[in-house]
Amino acid sequence: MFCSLLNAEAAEGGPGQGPSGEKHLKSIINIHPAYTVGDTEDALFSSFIEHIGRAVYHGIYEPGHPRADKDGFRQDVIDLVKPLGLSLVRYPGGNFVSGYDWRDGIGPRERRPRRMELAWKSVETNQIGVDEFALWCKKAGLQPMMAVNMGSAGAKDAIELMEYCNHPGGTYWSDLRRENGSPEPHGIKYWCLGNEIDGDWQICHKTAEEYGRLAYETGKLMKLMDPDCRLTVCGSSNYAMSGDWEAEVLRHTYGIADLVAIHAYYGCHGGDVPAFLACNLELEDYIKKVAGIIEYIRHAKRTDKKVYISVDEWNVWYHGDRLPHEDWSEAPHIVEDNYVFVDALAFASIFMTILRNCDNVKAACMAQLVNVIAPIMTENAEEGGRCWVQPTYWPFLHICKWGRGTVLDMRIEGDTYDTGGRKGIGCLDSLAVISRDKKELTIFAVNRSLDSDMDFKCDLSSFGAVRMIEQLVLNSDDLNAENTPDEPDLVKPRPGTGCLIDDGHLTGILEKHSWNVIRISLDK
Amino acid sequence: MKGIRTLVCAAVLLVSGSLLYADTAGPEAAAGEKPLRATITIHPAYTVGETDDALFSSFAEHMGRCVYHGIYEPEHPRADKDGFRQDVIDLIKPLGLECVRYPGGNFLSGYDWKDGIGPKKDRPVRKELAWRSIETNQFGVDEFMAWCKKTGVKPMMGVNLGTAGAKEAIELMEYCNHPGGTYWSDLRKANGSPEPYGVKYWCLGNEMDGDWQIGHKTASEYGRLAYETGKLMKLMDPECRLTVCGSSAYRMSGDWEAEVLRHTWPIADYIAIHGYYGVPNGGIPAFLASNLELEDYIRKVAGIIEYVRLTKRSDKRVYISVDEWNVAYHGDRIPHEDWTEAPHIGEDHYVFVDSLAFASLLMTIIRNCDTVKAACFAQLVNVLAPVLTENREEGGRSWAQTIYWPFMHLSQWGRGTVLDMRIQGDTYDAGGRKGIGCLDSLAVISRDKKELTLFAVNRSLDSSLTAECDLSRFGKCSVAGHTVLNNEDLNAENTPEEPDRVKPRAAHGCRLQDGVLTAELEKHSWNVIRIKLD
Repeated sequence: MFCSLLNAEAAEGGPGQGPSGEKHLKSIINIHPAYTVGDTEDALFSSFIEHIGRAVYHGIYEPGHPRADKDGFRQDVIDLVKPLGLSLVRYPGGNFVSGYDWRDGIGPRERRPRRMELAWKSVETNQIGVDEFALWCKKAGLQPMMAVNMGSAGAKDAIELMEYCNHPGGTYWSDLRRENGSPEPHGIKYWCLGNEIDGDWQICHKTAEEYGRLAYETGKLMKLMDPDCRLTVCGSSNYAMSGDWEAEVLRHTYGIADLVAIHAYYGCHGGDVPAFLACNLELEDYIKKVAGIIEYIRHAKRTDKKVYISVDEWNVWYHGDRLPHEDWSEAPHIVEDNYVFVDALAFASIFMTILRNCDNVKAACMAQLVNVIAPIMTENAEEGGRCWVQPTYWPFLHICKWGRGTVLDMRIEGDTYDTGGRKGIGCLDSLAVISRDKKELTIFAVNRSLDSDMDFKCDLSSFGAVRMIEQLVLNSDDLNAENTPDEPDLVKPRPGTGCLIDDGHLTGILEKHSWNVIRISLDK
Repeated sequence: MKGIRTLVCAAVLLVSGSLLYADTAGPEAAAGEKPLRATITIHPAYTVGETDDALFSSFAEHMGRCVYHGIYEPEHPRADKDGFRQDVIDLIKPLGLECVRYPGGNFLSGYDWKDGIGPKKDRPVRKELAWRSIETNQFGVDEFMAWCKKTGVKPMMGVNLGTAGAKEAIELMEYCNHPGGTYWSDLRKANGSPEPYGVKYWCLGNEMDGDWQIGHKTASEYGRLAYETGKLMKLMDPECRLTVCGSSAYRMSGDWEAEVLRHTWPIADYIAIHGYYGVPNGGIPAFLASNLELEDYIRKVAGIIEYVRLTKRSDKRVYISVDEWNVAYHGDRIPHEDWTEAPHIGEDHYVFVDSLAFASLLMTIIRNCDTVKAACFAQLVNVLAPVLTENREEGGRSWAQTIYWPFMHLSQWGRGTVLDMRIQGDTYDAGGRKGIGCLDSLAVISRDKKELTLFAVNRSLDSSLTAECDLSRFGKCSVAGHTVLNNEDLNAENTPEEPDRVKPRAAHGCRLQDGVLTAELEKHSWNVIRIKLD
C-alpha cells in the first residue's frame, strides 16, 4: 500500500495535471433554495459493529481495561463515539450473523457456550450478546439496528428474538429478558433480514428465490409481531453482483420490505489515487441502478409504497491486515486497516454521495465503528490500552454533525479530469445542506486535485442574508500520513481562512487534496 | 393504436356525463372567487436537457381515412398531380413536424410493403385484418416518401414483425436507402425514384405485446426477432436509428420492457411506449392531470432502461420514443362497416378542453427530454387527429381541431434547452391523485439563447391564476408576447362551418417588473408567454 500511494503523486492523468501547482483550478457551485433533493433521514448517520476481530471484544468491551465501566464497556471508546451523534449501530453482523444463535448470548455469562465461529474462523466467547449490546447503545446514545440470522436459522429464531427484545412482558421470551436483567423492552425498530445472502461465502448462502421466500415469510411474521418495525432485505454484496438479485428478491418481498441493502467498499487499486478519489461515482451508479430496479418492481406491483435503499455497509477498505492473526483464537487482529490521510477524502466523497441521494437512500451504516476498518482504534489493555481516531473519523464527524437537513440539488461547473476509464470527473466534489432549523447552510467540499488549489465561487443571493460562521479544513502534505497512538493528532482538522462572503457571494480557495466544511448562517 | 372498439363504448358512457359534471366540480370548486396563485422557480443552471427535434413528430397509419381521403385523394379539387391534398399539406406545414411514422400501427403487423410498390393498377386489393377494412394499396412507400418531401417531414418507417420478419425488413431498407446496383434499389429506381430516400428512423414492429396484434409475440419471442432483424439493419445501414417495441399501455409495462431490452440492447436506440388518455371517472379535473400518469410511465421505463444498462455494464444509452400519444375518448361520430375502403374509423371530434390535456401531455414529454428523444402524436389526419377532412363528395373541406394549436405552439417555441422548473402554489385532488398543481408549466430557452418561452395551463375550471416567476438570473429581459387559447364552453369544437371557433388570441396578462414576471392566467386556459432575453 505504501508504494501505491507514493506513486500516486506522479500518476498520469491526475487532476490538475501539468505544471504542478501553478495554475489554479476553477469551479462554480450553483445552489438555490427551490432546488432540493430531499430531507436526510437520521438513519443515514449510522454505523456497524460485528462480532469480528476486535470490534466487540477489546473494542467496545474490555472488562480488564482501566477505563472500563462497571459493565465492562470502554469509556474511552464511548467518549470518541459520542461526538459522532450516531443514530443507529447495526449488529451483530455481517457474515457473523449467518451462523449466530442469539440465544448463546443471553443469560448468565458463565453458562454461555464458546463456539467455533465459521465466518471469521475465530472462537466466539459469547460474553457480549443482545442485552449487553442494547445496554452499550444506551450508554453511547444511539439505537441498535438488529440483524436476524437468515443463513443457518429462520423465521422462528427471528420472531423469538423480536419477542425477546420488543415485547413488554408476560410471554416466554419477554419474561426471559426481564429475568436476564432488562425489565424494559429494548424497543428495536430497525431489523435486517440476514446479511449478504447473495454471496457464496455466506454461511448458508441462498439463491435469490430461496432468500426472497424466506425473507418474505420471516418479515411477514415480524410485521405481525411489531407493525412499526422497519425491515431491510438483503440486496447485493457489491455492484458487480447487483441487478437480477435485487429484482427477484424485491418481487418476493415487496410487501414487507422497507429498505433494500447494498454494500459498498472502495480502495486505492494500482496506485491510481485520482481514480480512487472518484470511487464514489461508482456508488452513485450503484444507487441509481438499484433505485431503478425498485421503481420497476414498484410500478409492476402497482403500489404507492416506496422501498428505499440502505447502504448498510460502506467504507474505504484496501490496506489489509497490519498484524498477523491465527485461526480459532479469541478477538484476533482481523482487518485492522490503518487509514492514511488521502483515504479521508475518498471516504468523505462516498458519504456525500449517500446524502446527495437522500431521496432514495434512507439508511447508511459506515462499516465498522471500532478496530475493524474503523475510524476508532484501540489497543488491548496489555498492549498499552490507548485509543485514537483515524483520518476517516473527521469527515464522518463533520457530516454527521452538519449534514442533517435539506440536501440541495447542486450543479457544479468547472475543471474536470479523466482517469480509470471515467471521463469528466469534477475536480470539485461538493454537497450543500440546509439545517433542519433552516438557520444554517453547510457546504462540504473535496478538492480532488493532487496538484492544484482551486478558486471557487457560489452565488448565495437566493438565500437572503448570509454570514460566515466558520471554515474547517482537513489536509496533509503527506497523503500517506496516519494517526497513531503516539501521534494521534497528526491528521486533524484546523480552522480555515480561505473563504469569504461578500455581497451574498461566497468565494474562496480550496487547497489541493483537501476536505472542507464551510458553515454559513442563514439567520437574519 | 389499439382497442378502438373499447374506446367507443367508454366514450358513450363518458362524454355526456363527465363533461357536465366537470362544470360544477373543478379544481378549487369550493373557492371559486379566490384567484389561485403559483410561484415558478427557474434558473439557467438547472436544466433538464436539450430537446431532440424528433419529439415533434406525428403518425399516419393505413387506417380509416388517415391516408385515403386524408393525405391522399386524387379526385379532390385541391389534389396535386400526385393525388396529395394540398389543403391538408397547407394545414400540416405550420406544425413544423420532424418525422411522420408510417404505415402503422396495428396495420403494420399484417402489411406486405411489396403490395404498395410498382404500377398502381397491378397492386393487390387486400382484406386488412387489423381494422377489418379493404386496403387498395394505391398508396405505398414511394407515395409516402414523395408526400414527406412535399410536406417537409422525415419518414419514420415501421417494419412488419408480426407476419413478416428480418428478410422483409432488410429488403425494404435496401429498397429505401441503397443508392442502386442491387435488386431492390434498382427496383426503386425503376419505380420512379432514382435517389434513395435515406430513411433514418425505423420501428421494429408495433405493439407486439398486445394480444390484439397480428402475429403478437411473447417478450422473449419478440426480443429475439427484433434483435436479429435490427442486427441486419445496422449491418446494412449503420446510421439507422432503431426503435424496439415497449409496452402498449402503462398497465402492460414492466417485465415486457426488461425482457425485450435484455435481448435487444446492442441494437436498440429507442424503446417505444404508447399513451392515450381520456376523461376518467374523476371527471375533467382528473383528465387535466392525465399527463401525470404519462410522467409515471416515462419514469418507470427510464428506470428499467437504467437497470438493464447497468446490468449490461454498458455506456450506451437507450432512449424512450413515445411513438403514439394523444387524447382519445370521444369515439366514432360516423358509423362504418367492416370490409369497406377508407371507413370513418376513430374520427374523434376534439373539444376545447381536450387541447389543455393535450398540451400537458406534450409538456410532460418535453420535460423528460433527457430520457425521451422521440414522440409521435397519433395521428396526423382524421384518425384522432388535429387535422380533419371531408371527402370530396361530402364537401371536401379541411380544418384544424382544437388540439392543433398547442402542438403548433410547442413545436414552434418548445425547442431548445428545457429548464428544470419547480412550482409552488395551489393544488387540488382528483381521480385518486393528491396535490395536482393548478398550474402546469414548461420553460424552454430557444437554441439561439435569445428567447425564453413559458408554456402554461391553468387547470382550474373556476378561477384565474396569478403566476409569478423571478427572471432576474436571466439578465435583461422583456415580454415579447402572450398567446392564449381559451373558450367559455369546454365542449366547444371546430367544425367545417366554424373552423376558427377555438383559436389562439393575443393576451396582455403579463407584467415584467424588476426582473419578476407576473402572469394572469385565465381559468382553463393554455398560455404561451415569450420572453426576449438580451
